Amino acid sequence: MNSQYGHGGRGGPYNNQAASSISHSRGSKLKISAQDLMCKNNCGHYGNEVQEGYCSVCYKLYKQQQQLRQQQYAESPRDNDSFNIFGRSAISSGFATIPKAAKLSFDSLSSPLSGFAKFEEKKRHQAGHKSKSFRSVFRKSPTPSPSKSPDLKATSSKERPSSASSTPNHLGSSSPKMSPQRPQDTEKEQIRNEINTFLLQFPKQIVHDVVVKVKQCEAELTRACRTSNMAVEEISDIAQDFYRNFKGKVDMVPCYQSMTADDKELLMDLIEKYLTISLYKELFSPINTTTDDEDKDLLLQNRIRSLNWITCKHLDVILNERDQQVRDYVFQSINAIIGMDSVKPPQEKLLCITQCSHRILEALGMSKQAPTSADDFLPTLIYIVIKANPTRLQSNINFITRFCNASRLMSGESGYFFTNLCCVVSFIQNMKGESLSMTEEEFEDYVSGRTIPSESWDNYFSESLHSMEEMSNDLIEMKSRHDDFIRNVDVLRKNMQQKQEWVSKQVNVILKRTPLTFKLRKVPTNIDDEDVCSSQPSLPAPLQPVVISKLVKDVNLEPNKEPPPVTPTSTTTELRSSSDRPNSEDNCSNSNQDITATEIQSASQKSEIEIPVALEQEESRDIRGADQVLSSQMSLTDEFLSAEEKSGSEEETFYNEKKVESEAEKSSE
Amino acid sequence: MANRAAPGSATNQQQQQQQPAATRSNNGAPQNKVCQFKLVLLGESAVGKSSLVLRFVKGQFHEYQESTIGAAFLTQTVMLDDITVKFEIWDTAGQERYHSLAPMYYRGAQAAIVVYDITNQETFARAKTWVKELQRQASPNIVIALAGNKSDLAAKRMVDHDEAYAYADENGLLFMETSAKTAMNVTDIFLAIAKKLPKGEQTSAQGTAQGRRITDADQAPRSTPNCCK
Repeated sequence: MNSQYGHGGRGGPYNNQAASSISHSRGSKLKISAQDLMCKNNCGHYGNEVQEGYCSVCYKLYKQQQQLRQQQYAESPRDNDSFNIFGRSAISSGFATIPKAAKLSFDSLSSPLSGFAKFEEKKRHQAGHKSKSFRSVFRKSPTPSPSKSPDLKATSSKERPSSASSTPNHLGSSSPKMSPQRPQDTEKEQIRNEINTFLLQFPKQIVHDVVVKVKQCEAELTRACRTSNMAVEEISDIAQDFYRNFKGKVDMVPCYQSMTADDKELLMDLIEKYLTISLYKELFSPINTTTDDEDKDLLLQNRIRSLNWITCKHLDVILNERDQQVRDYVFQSINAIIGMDSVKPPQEKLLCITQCSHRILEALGMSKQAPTSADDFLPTLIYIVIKANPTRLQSNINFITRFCNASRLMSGESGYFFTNLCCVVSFIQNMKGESLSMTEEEFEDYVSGRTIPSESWDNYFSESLHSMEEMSNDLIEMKSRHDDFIRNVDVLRKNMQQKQEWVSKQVNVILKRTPLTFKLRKVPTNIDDEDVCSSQPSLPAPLQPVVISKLVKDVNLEPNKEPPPVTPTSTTTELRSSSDRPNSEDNCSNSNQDITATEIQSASQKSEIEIPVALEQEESRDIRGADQVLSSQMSLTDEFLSAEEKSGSEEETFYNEKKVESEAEKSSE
Repeated sequence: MANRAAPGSATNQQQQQQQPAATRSNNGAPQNKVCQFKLVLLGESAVGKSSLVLRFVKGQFHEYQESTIGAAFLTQTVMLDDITVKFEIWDTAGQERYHSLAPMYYRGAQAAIVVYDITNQETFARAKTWVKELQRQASPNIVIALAGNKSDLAAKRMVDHDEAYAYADENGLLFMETSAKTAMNVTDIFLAIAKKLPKGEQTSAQGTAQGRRITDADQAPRSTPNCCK
């Protein structure tokens, strides 16, 4: 494990060191000052490039040291194969063996002068990236010559201790974002490590082959980039041919049979990544060659800027921009497409496009309750690109087209979305009035900025306006609910009235059926009254109270009737006493009869009111009760209504207030 | 850990080197040959292109729950005898204003389905222009299928079946009336395309690769001895 990372990471510190030494002596380097020809040990003698920049004495010492280290190194259980892996071989072949000053001429494979001229030209163009171009110039040696292999081992062994100590560091900074100072360096290191780690699992032969092929291609591309008047298409052809040939080779050559199809894919990806990262500066909108990518970028950017008035409506985009989540997706997709410029390998650029497209599809999925088709997707992508106006869009598209494996662009999801993006650019460039279903004059007016459409981007972004709109929507909804409520209250009131009418009608019916008649009040019977019977004239015959005691007395006194005049006083007293008794009896029976009479009466009037007076009283009480209930209900409703009206008016005042507020906001906007 | 010079791996590799011919002759016609094809959907908007694909890929009509996936780009594999045909389906925007962009989509496509709506005569006319354009501009051996969609709405039919059939016959197109709603003929049309597609395509691609490899091999001796020795 340790050895693996030690090897993989070795290039990093060395490279940085080299770069810093270059930048340190940059001023003199361009002229190859005498100082640069001196021995590296600063012993005062001239150095020699064959002796790695040392004078003969120092070189001898150096060699001895190297051998010593090499021996130590050989003792350690280290796999020598990884020497041939990228970075190392590049450095060893290109860098370490040659004194600094002589390297340029050696490397460029042309005369030193032309190399310098090229370099100066490059320097002028890429003022900010001198060290990078230097390195790229140095590093690409066309073919590592076999004679250099001892040097290779020597340098690597020489560098070993420092690399070993810096390994953790290097691993730590493997993320390109973590070291802001030299992002390209880190990226290069990272991809180099990635390839190295990946290749470690394969046989030596494959590793050799891959390294050689890739180096070869890299050198070829570098050379092509530095050849003036080389059309970028030709450079692209070199890369594409390499991809194709290499893929063919990987598929066909027997030694690659041990790799799985996935591994092959990954290998192709890694190689593509490596080439494009390490040559990004040269390949991305190349300046030396006859491209006008940058001009096209500017044109496209200005074109998109002139179209920034376009809204969803113009393109029939169905995005529901009111929804917060949809807007989030829209912003995410805009971020993704803008982020495309900041990543280097074409694959990662494609990944940005794919991410952007996925966000768009998600946003569309939320806006529409149906599967998203290209009919919806393409207009939305156009809209997003117009709103995002990604930097160097044309250059990025060209870069992907030229240096991404062509087979990837023709198929697969990323290929599909990339095609869509190309379509979008083409559409934007050729956009006319009719493409937005408006007249040419209108379109021209908008493009030139003479007229501004009512809805614009600001409208979309302005948070307060948006919230105002939301609020007014809420108010509209509230109003409609309020109207609903009022309508329901009306219905309720009507129902209540109907109920009231119905109840009063019922009452009338009942009243008609059982008219209110007032009977005489019952007068308590005077027990002492002689004429009991006359006091109850209404009673029918059988119920007519009869004074029984009198009859009994009569019967009893019948034998004594003949001599009535004999004892008139006693008889009278008797009579009086007897009449006294029966009278009470009579009274009793009378009351009994009275009850039976009422019972009969009630029986006869079963369905009718039983005891008229009482019933009538009761009924009237009932009616009064119903009336009371009704009136209380009515009063309740009235109260309710008045409360509602109050709340309604409150709502209205709230609405009015909001309106005032929103108007104020509008005016302030 | 990663010692690739391990004897085991080396012998393995040698073994593999010794019998490449044998393995290749065995795998020359593998049991599970996978062919990947790019298929483009063309047709006026709202003729049901995406519904057709969704029915084919997901077996459903109106997929509300998975709407976020979208039907713009989908893949589906079809087993045809002992060959696995993988369709990569590219949907295109059908609106007239995007018509000029279509060549970008059907570039490199091996198959195309031109969809029209049988209840709309205009979409059929538009389909005819698509077919004409494909025959003129797409790759010459592209397989074109004509699909009269919404055949479940036969009551509102405006495009005669026989007329469309005659047209397809004349132009050498596959023709079927489909219904994404009832799934009628949906899988059938894709299967018919899969059958008609040249399966030797893969081998022909290998052939070209081989052809290139020879030129590659010319360069190889120059470089390989330098490094491998």
